[in-house]
Parts: sequence; C-alpha cells; structure tokens
Amino acid sequence: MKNMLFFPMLLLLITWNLQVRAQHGAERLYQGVIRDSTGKGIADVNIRVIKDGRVIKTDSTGSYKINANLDKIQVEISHLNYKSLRTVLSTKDIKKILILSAKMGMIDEVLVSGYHSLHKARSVGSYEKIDKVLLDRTANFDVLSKLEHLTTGTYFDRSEYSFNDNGKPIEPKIFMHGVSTLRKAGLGGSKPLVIVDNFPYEGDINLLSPNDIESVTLLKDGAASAIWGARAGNGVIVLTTKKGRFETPLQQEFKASIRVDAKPDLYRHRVISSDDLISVERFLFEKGYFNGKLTSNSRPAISPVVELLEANRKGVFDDEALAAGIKPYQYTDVRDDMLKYMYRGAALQQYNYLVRGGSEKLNGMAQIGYDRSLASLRSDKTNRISSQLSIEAKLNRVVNLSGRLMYNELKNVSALATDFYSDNGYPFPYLKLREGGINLAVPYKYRFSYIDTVGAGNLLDWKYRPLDYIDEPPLVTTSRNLLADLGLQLFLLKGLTADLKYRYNFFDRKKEERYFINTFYARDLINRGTQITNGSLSYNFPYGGILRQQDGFSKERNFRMQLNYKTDFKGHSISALAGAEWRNKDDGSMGNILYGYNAENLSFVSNIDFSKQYPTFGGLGGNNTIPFNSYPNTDITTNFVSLYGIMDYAFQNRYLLSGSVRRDASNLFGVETNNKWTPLWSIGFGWNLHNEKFFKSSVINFLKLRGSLGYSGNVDNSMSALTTIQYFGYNNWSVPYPMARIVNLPNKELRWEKLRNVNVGIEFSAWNNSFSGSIDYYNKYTFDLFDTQPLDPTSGVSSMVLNAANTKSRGFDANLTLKKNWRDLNWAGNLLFSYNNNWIVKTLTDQQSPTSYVLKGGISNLPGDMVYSLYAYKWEGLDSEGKPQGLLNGDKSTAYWDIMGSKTLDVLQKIGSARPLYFGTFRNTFSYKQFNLSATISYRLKYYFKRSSISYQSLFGKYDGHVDFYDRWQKPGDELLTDVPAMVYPLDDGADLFYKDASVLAERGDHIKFQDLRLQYNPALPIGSKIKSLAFFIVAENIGLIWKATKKDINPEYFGNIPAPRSFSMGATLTF
Amino acid sequence: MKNILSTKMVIGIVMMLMLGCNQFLEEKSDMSLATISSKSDLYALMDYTVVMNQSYVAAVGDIASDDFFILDKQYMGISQLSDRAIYIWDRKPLADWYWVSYSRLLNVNTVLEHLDKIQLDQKDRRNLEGMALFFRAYSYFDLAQIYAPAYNQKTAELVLGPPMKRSTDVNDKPIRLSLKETMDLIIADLKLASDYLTDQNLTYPTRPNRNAALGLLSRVYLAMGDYEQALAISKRALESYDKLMDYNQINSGKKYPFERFNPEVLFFSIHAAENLSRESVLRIDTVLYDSYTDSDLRKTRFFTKQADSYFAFTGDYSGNSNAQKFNGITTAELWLTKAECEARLGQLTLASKTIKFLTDKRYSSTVAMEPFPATQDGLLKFIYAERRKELLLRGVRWMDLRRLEEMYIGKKEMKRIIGDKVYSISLNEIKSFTFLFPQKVIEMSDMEQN
Repeated sequence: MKNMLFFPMLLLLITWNLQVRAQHGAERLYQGVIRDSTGKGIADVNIRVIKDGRVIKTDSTGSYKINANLDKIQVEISHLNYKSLRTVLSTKDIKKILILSAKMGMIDEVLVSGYHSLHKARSVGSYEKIDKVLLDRTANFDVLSKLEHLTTGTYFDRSEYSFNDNGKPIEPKIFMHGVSTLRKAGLGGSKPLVIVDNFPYEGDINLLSPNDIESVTLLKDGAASAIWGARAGNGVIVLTTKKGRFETPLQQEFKASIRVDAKPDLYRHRVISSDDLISVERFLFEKGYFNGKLTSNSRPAISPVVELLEANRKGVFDDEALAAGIKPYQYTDVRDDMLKYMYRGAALQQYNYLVRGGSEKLNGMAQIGYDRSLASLRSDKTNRISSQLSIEAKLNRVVNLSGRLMYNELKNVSALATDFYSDNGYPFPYLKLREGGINLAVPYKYRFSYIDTVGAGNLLDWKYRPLDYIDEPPLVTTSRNLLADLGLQLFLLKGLTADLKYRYNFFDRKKEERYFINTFYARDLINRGTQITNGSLSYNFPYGGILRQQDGFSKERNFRMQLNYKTDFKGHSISALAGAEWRNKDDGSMGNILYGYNAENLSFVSNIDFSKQYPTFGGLGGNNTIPFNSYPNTDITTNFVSLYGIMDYAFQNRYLLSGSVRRDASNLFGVETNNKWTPLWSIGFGWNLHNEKFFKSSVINFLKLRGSLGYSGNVDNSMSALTTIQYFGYNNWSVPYPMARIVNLPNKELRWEKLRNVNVGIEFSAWNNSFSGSIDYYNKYTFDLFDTQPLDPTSGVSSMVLNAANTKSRGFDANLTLKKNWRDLNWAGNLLFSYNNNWIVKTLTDQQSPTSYVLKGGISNLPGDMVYSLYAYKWEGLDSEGKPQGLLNGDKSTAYWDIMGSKTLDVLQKIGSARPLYFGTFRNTFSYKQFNLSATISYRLKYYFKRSSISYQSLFGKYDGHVDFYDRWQKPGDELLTDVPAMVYPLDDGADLFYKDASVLAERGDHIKFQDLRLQYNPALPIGSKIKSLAFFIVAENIGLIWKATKKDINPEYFGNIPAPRSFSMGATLTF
Repeated sequence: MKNILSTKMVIGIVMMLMLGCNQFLEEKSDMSLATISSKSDLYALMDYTVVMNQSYVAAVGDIASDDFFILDKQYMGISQLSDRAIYIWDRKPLADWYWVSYSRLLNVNTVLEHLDKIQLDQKDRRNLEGMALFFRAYSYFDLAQIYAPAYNQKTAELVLGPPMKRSTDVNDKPIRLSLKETMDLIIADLKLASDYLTDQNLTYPTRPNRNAALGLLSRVYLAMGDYEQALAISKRALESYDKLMDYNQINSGKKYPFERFNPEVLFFSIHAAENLSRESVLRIDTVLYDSYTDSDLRKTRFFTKQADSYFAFTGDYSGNSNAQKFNGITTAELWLTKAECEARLGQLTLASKTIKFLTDKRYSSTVAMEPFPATQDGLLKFIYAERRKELLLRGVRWMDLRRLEEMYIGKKEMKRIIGDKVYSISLNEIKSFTFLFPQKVIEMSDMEQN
C-alpha cells in the first residue's frame, strides 16, 4: 500500500513548490480569433484571465481583444460545446489563432470506422463516440468495461458474474443491439469485433491498457458497420490509440491512479446457521444417510461432525464427549476465516507516462504504462506493462510515412482455491482455515480417519489445506503482444490519395501449472500410485512435482491497399474509397506435462510408460494409468481476402447519400461458399434540415434526419460445408493404421449467419447547443443463425450445428444532453436510454421438453416468443404434506418427472423477459471554477429472474442450506403460510428440481442504482509554470441500489449472487 | 510524372497479389482437421475401429438367448430398465443399440461417395469399395437380426428390414425396404466385396478381406436357409485359408487363453458394451456347460469357476474380460457351416469328414472320440451341438434360435426365472420377434415404431 501513495504525494509536492512569478509592465493589447476545426469563428467563447478573473467574450466572428499590463497572460478559454483550453497569450503574437475542438456529440466531431474518418455532420450512420474525458472517468483494468455506463444499445450481461472474477481480467459479455447469434460467447458467440485503429485486434483485450486509448467509437447500424462485412455481425468497437500530432509543442503527461475495492460480501449468500446445519447433519445421520459413505472403499471426505457421531455410535466416546466435540463447530462460520485469510479488498494501481509532439514534417509519441492488479482472492494478481512508440513523417509532397511499435505484457498468478470454496456453497461451513498461524486441513476427497493412519507413516501427507494454495498459487500465465504497424500514404493527384497499410500482430500465451511436491494435487496422485509390499515402497506414479505447460501463439498479418478520392464542385461533394485487404492468421498451441519434476534442479522423469496400468493404493479405486499430455497440438490458419468500397455524396451539405459494399472470401468457407457469398452492402441517406432555406428556426440550430439499411455477417471458423475428418493417431489394439473420425457432416446448404439492419435516426441541437442529442430506432433481422440441432440418429450423428433460426430485434436508443450555465457554474445532464427486445421468427425444431425452457440462460424455441424469455413451472402451492405442486393436464400434480418431461408446454408459465428491456444511465455533471463533480445513476427495467431458495439436494450433499430453510413446511397447515417445501428423507430430487424452477421463485429484476460519484479538481497554475495542467480526481463506484422492484433481500443486478463490491479510486494527471 | 509512376506501381502490385489469391484461399485451415482429399483419408475412415469394429448390436441377441443366465441379485443391480427388458423379451424401446451402427454407415457412405471424387488407382479403389461394401452388408445384416423378423422365404417380401440410410445428406430421409430386398442388397454387396477384396490383411483382421466377405456371405445364406449357396461359399473361403488352432496347444492355465488376433479370426469385431455381459454378472447356462464332455478342451479353456459356484466365460477371442465380446468371423464357423450344409444336403460322409477336422482340434488328442452318428438327423444334431459349444456368445445364437427346427434346439421355449417370476418365449414367437427402436429415433424421424 505504501508505494501506491507515493506518486500522488509527489504530484502534490510539485504543485505546492511552484514559484509564482509575474512580470509587471505597461498596458498591452492582446488580439486574436477563436475558431472551430472547420475554420469557422466561434461566438460567445468565455476567455477568463486567470490573474484577475476577468471574463471576456468573443464576438460573432470569434474575435477577441484583451487589455492587460503584462508581457504574458494565462487564460482559460471555455465554451459549452467545446473542450476547454488553458493557454498563455504573449504580446509577440500579433493576431493569435486558437482552434477549439468540439466536445463529444457535437456536430463537427470526427468519427472513425477503421477504413475512413468523417465528420458527424456528414455521416448517415449510427455512430457513438466516447472520448478520453469520459474514458478517464473511472479507473479500470481494461477499456471495454469502461463502456457500460457510457453507451446506448449495448447490454453487458452479468448473469454469470462471479465475485471471484473480480479484479481478474475477464472478458465482458457485450451484446450490441440485441441478438446477433445464438451461440454462447466463447464458442464463436456474440463478441463484438474490436478494431484497434485500422485492423481487428483478436488477442486478449486485457493486454491493452486503457491509457493507450484516445477514444472509442461504436459502429451500431448497417451504414456504419457493414464495411466490416462478414465479421461485423456482433457490432464493431473501434479503439483509436494515442498518437503524435504535427505542429504541436512537445507535451508530457504523467498519470497515476489507485483503485481499492471493498472485500466481497460473502454473507450475501444467505445460509442457515452452523448450529442448525449440524442439527440437519444429525437428522441425516440418524436416517442412515452417511452409511454408504462411511463404509465406502473409496473413503470419501466426511465432515468432522459426522466422524464424531460415528465414533459415538461405535461407542468410542459417550454423549457428553460428543456434545463437547461438536460445540466448537456450532458457533463457527467458515466465511469469517475466508474473509480474514482468503480475501482482501481488491486493488488496482495504474501508472502511465506519455510524451508526444510534432514539427511541421515529423511527429512522434512514446508511452509506457505499468498496471498492477491485486484481486480480491489473496493469491491472485496481475501485472501489465504496456508500451508504445509511434512516428509519422511527411517525406515530401507525395509521400507520408508512419510507423508504430507496441509491446504489452500481462502476467497473471492465481490459485485454484475457489474450486473448493465458491460463491454458492461452502463444504462444511463450520470449519476453521487457520489457527495460530498454521493453515488447517479440511476434509477433501478422503476422510481424516482414513488418511490419518493409513500407510503407517510411509505415505506423503495426504491432507488438503485450502490456504496453502493461497500462499503459493500454482497457476502462472504470461501473455505477450507485439504489434507493428507500417503505413504509407501517397498524395497522387488532387483529391486522390493511396494508402498502403501493413500490420504484424503477434500474441504469445504461456500457461504453467506448477504442482510441486508440496501441493495436495501432486501428493494425492503420488499416494494413490504408491505400492507397499512387505514394508518396501514403490511409486507407480513418478515421485516429485508435476509441471504442466501450455504455450499458445497467434500470428496475424494484415495488408491493405486503398485508394481515396475527394472532390467538390458546384455544391456536390464526393468522397469515395476502394480497397483490397489480405489477412492471414496462424494460431497454434502445444503443451506438455513433466512428472517427477524438481523445481530446484529442473529435473524430471522421462521414461514414463503411459499405457502401464497400476492399482490404486488401498483399493481406493480401479486401475490407473499416468495421465497422458492432454493438450492437443493445434495449428489453424485463417486467410481472408476482402474487397470493399465506400462512397459518400453530399449536395450543398443538405442531402447526404452514402453506400458501402464489401465482399469477403476465406479459406474457411470452402470454394462453393465463396462463390455463393453475395457481397454485403449498405446504403444510407441523410437530410440536414437546418441547411434548408425554408427551415428558419431561431431555436433549432442543427437538425438531421438519417436512415440506413445494411447487411453484415458472422463467420465461424469451426464450420464447413464439406465433410471434415479428424485424425486420431492409432487405436488401442496396436493396429498400425491411422484412424480418422468424421467431425462435420456435409451440408450443402450451409450459409453464414446474416443480419439486416434498418436504422432511422434524428440528431438535433437546439438553443445554441444547450439541448442536443440523438434518437435512433432500429429493426434488426437475423437469418440462418447457427444452433445445435438434435438429429435423427439414423443420420449417423446425434446432433449437428445447422442454420436453424431467424430472429428479429427492435430497439430504441436515445442520448440526450441538456446544459445550462450560471456564470461560473456549469451543469450538464446526460440521459442514455435504451430499449431492446428480440423475438424468434423461425426455428427448425419447434418442440423441446419443458426442461430446456427453464434452463438458466436458455433460449426460447417458439416462433413469436422473446428470445430471452424466463420460463418457470406453474406453481400450485404446497400440498398437505409440504410437497410442491405443479400443474399437469390441468390438475395439481406432484408427478415431477412427468411435468418436466411433458410433451406439451402447458406445465410452464412464461414470466417475462430475462433481460432488461429498458436500460441506461443518467449522468449529472457540475463544474464550478476548478471543480468538476459528476454522478451517474444507472437503471435496468422490465426483466425477471429466478431467485435461489432451499435445495435439499444442496443441503444434504453440499451443506449449502439456504436461509429459506427456516420458512419451510413443518406441519400440516403450514402450506397455507409458506411456499417453501418440507424437508423429507429420502430426498425427492424431482421435487427439488421442480421447485428450483417454479414460478414462485420468479422475481422482478428492475432496479435503479447509484453507480458512481466523481470529483475532479484542476488547481490554478501560476503563469510561466512549466506545468500545463494538473488534475486530481476521486471516484466512488458501485455505491448502492436506490430502488429495486423485488421485496426480497437480494441484489437483482447480480441475480441474487454476491454483488461486486464498492470501490474507491483516486488519481492525478500531470501535463507539462 | 512521379504521380503516374506510383499509380502504375500500385496497379502492378494489385495484379500480382490477385494472382496469388486462389492459393491463399485454398490453404488448409486446421491442420488436424481435413476435408477428404486423398486415399489415406478414406482408409483412415475405414480403419476407425472405434465404430467400424465395435458396438455391433448382435449383443442384444446374445442377451435374449439361452447361452447364459444371471443371478437375481445381479439382475436387480442392472440400472437400465431397457437392458433388463431385453433379458426377459419385454418389448421396450432399446437404449442405445442403434446409433453406432449408423455412425459406421456414415463412414461407409462417406467413402462410397468419395470414390469418384478423388484420384485413386484401380487397386485402391477396388479395395476401398470392397471394404465399404463389406461394412455396409455386415451392419445391415447385424441390424436385421435385431430389428427385423427371422428370414422366411414366404413372408420376406411382406415384412420390413432395418432402416436404411443410403447417403450422407442429412436431409435425405432413411427408408425401410422389405426384408427380401434388404437381404438381396446385402448379398449383392458381399458378392462385390468378395470380388474386390484380396485375401491379404489377415495380420490385422480389423480390415475387411476376401475371406471375411465370403465368411459373412455364407452366414447370410445360412440365415436364409439356402444351404447350397452357403456350402459353395464356405468351400470357396476355406480353399484359400482354413487354419484352425489346436486347442491341445492352448495353455488352459491362463485365465484368458486366447490372443486378440489369433489365426482363426478372419474378421475382428466386438459387441456393444452391455452390463449383462460382464464377466462378474454373466453365468453360463448349466445345461450348456454340462454338455461339454471332459475331453472337450473348450471346457477348461472357455470357462472359469466363480465364487458363486457357477461359471463365467473367459475364453473370448478378444483376449480379455471385456463386456464387449468378440463376435467376428472365424475359420471354425466356416467349418461348421460347411459341415451343416453337407449334412443338410445328404452328403453325410463329407459332413463327418468336415466336422472331424474341427473336433480334432477341440477335443483332447489323448482320448479316443466316439464315432459320429450315422443318420442325417443324428449327425445334424451333433453338428448343431458343436456349433453351439463353439460359437457361444458370438452373436450367432439368436440367429440359430430363429432359423432352426425345434428338434435341433431341443426345447419348445426359453425360460427366465427372476425371483418367483417366470418369463418364457416360444420358438415361434422368437421367429417374428423384433426389438423396438430407441425412443429418440421415433421422436426425431418420421419412422413408425417397429
């Protein structure tokens, strides 16, 4: 913690030690003009002279005059719609020209697609740009997780959130404008395409530091994204990195920040007290529930309480001793120790240094960053080093050369302790994990009474201590990324330029699992392979540690040639480009396992017979073999060739027409598909109403209508239209012929997932930009989405991925900003509002069993139904024995298996949407002099989820006793008072499964949350100071729920799981 | 000028790159995945022993036959209800006794469809086609034993054979031909296969060969009651290879005395795994066990006494205690077929000579054999007894029960006793008995239940 505070302290010292130097002299006149990036003068700009606080305004042409009796004055230039600027005016400048850049959302903002850039006023597509200021609001490890509360139409799925991932780099599940594929993320699922500058970035996004990013642009509709063709189906996110600029003085920037999270609130997983759990154990013990385990040859783990009960039953000790033995467990909660020894508040430190600048012919940028993330699990930490060097040179009138090198390295260390203790269920919840500084053993895999005595001291210690893994985490993953860009721009003729771009992108990921001899994992395998014959030991499993290594790499090469043409004549302006692109990607991986590994001298056992069978020690199991290297060697090559073109046409800046077309071919598709692959295209129009002569409004200064239609696609590497086979090596009968199995059935009709986007939008600005915003309405149709379909076994396979479904989505995005200022106080309110819903249009198989509908995260299969519908079994209360009742053929029923396997869906109740139909944020920003305060409120409305309740299977088997246990049915008559089923023995697992998905557990998820609160302070700097700007910020996140629809004590945002903890960050940015 | 030059250069580069494009797009995507492009790909599919040589459904017939029984407590331990049902001839939908067969047929159809698509020399083409046809015939014949009634010339055109899938296209619906048409196709396939295949490959009899095709063809004719054809074919097969192991040379001290690919095996295939055929569960029918005389070497080489005083089968040609029993084709079966046909056709002297060839290798050489019966009936009874003792748990007993007359089986019906319940099935019922398709087949296809 000490070194975390070092940098902010240093920054403060620098500020305080600045000398104020001022020079006096005669009255002088400072003159100049302030313009926007198109060269137009800006009226009503506030110029505040820092020294005396005077405020001067520019006139309608943007000109200003200031009188002062100094050689130099420092001024702050601000305007509602433009980014503020702090600069020094000198009498040497006769007539100074200052250029202000627009704030986000303003009309002269520049948008990028990865192929071209265009002014917002000229664009007909739905773009959303997030600039540096917004990206820097919070301190995050990766850039994508910053986007959640800053964008519309983008849903971050958190239904599978686990607090144990917190602080660890995770891949966010992002859905842009709803359904684009039905496959799960990770299996070619709905990951948006991420572009870094000009080319796709397919490596781990966590390798990129958010500090490398200047801005993020989301391409949401067809007109914006169709240019990415067969890869744009899930939406496109363009990350623009920081670069140098021509004719800019050298600038250095130093940033440092710290983020600290609260410890995860483990007690949110609400369970019965240890005392009551022990009562349940005694109940089960008396019923004979543990008899099987107690006599099993495999000697499974048994709780210390059951061991005591068994000893008591055998008469080893009396009831009094039993009570005394149980007593310490009755008042222990393992989570106390977990919070003390296993968890901590996660912390993230980030440091970044950047220098950039440029002359008339040359510009450059260098950057280096270091990030250190300590996850909430004490063992887990991640370090990242990121560095960048870029340079651009105008060699002569024709040739412009640019180059960039980027190197990032990520190192992650983690433990597997969460295998044993997860966020739902703590086996034997009344244990202690550490006492007197010693890590305690917990029953795991084997009973203590067995491993305590067996082997008469000849075996290795056979106990499992979860905290050992925390102290010495065995997993180490190192990822590296080297990216090199080379660009050549040729100015060929007037308006005609050619771009040649090349990118080499190399990723390497090494994963090591280091199970040294002291780890349970290694000790267990060695013990199981030990043979004791007449007191002498032999090891069938190599004695020593186990080292598993996996190495994966990916090499990408991209080459693009593009011709751009721009011309203006008599009010017509045309901008067109055409290009071709080659892309080649080689992915490979290999791995190995070393047995008998000794970390001290790096030795290992090499003569291992993997086919040799050996008996398990003590008859704990059947025969074993030493596990063979299970990492497959892979080598995958992906080649793409694409041809594309874009044309934008504008007439008198009133009528806009835009079109794009792209055709992709790839070695993935096979020749036939390449031939069938129709080009993907888009067309869009725009109408700048405010430029029309008839449009005379003193209120509205900008009004544009736009619409677009575009097609994009989704490709999948694993699919082929042809029969594919996979070789296996040789069979286990030592037949020397290679074998191959059919992986993919031929499918002549295989088509790539295709999307059609229709988008209409309105952009406006009124009252001199005080009220501005955009509203988009979209209709999205998907065709031929892939889904795994069960097949008639007579076809030779039981299921196959087929083009199975069509869906449609409809949505509405609004981004509205209202601004107001009262002298020094500025206020801006920004409302982001999104509506999205998705429906199934067509499926191949119409009938599936009810169980597939109630699955968590399940997808509906009924045409006309919402894709993400929440289904539950109809609930008819408890019967007179406390059994839950469903509805079967119109009657109350406890025939759970018949209900779950019903041929019709009458047994189900459709609750509603499982994903919020409405979501967004409301952000308020106040700035007063050097202070800036902003707060974000987020909301997710109109959705349902199923809360967890008591599962007797979990209670008996995993000791996970949900607190609803206390409300359970206990005696006749209770059925009128409660919906929680009775505890019965033997367990009725049908009742358990039914109740888990019964409609009585459905809850509304709607909630409003106080997302964050941020304060920034930009201290005034003395004139002549070398420091150009200085900013401090503090921000609190995940502050708390303001409102939720459910009356139950659960956090709907995390579907009842343990929520992400509150966090607090602070940081500083220094520019000089 | 300079500008024009650079434009030309750009165009030149584009042209060059375009030419390289096709090669770029045809590059193999995943090195471990392949589209079928060479003869070795086709051979690798035929050599995929996991489906090609395993999971034959004849196992179902064995479980329904009278070679063995299981003890009550073991029966109660069988968790799959559909497995229990087979044992007591209760017509319930079978569990998984289906899809590996069709997975095998998928490989077969894939190879057949690719024969004309890739360049093959005459030798490989004939060999591959022969292998595929053999597997196709073997699979459909195997399925017919379970899912179709016994072959009867009078009714064969009226009853249905097993479902047939004749292409790899998923949209192509399976069809059911009459049993007559099915058997005709099987015979045609095997005739071609025996023509195309060579009699090599016996070192690794997982690959179909000429003798295997002839062996299977003679079994098919036998199932149809065509003794003349069965005789002719078995003779042809034995002409080129007739080797039998002398059991006097087989060590009875070993628990599993037989090697996996022993010299008698013409084609190696094994049953589907089945809980009831585990060594720990399956017990040899006591009448069958007692029928082995003390001088019969099989008595000690095939069986091991268990703690419950009954005998387990440990003489499997797969060389281990697997639940997946060997059910392939052997020279011994050909000798038995030849002897049976000769006896059926009245060539009693020849038949005696033929069966002696086998019994010489199966009975102790130190004890003199009793002379063979002289009457046709007597000799046939003797041959059938030998057949049963030789081919137990090889997937042919069910076929024999369905084709033979009562006098050669020696009983009117089969019985199972579980607890105090007795289940029985008459020989007539067995002839028309068919098992039901797995439920999933009915759910997923347009086919009617069997």
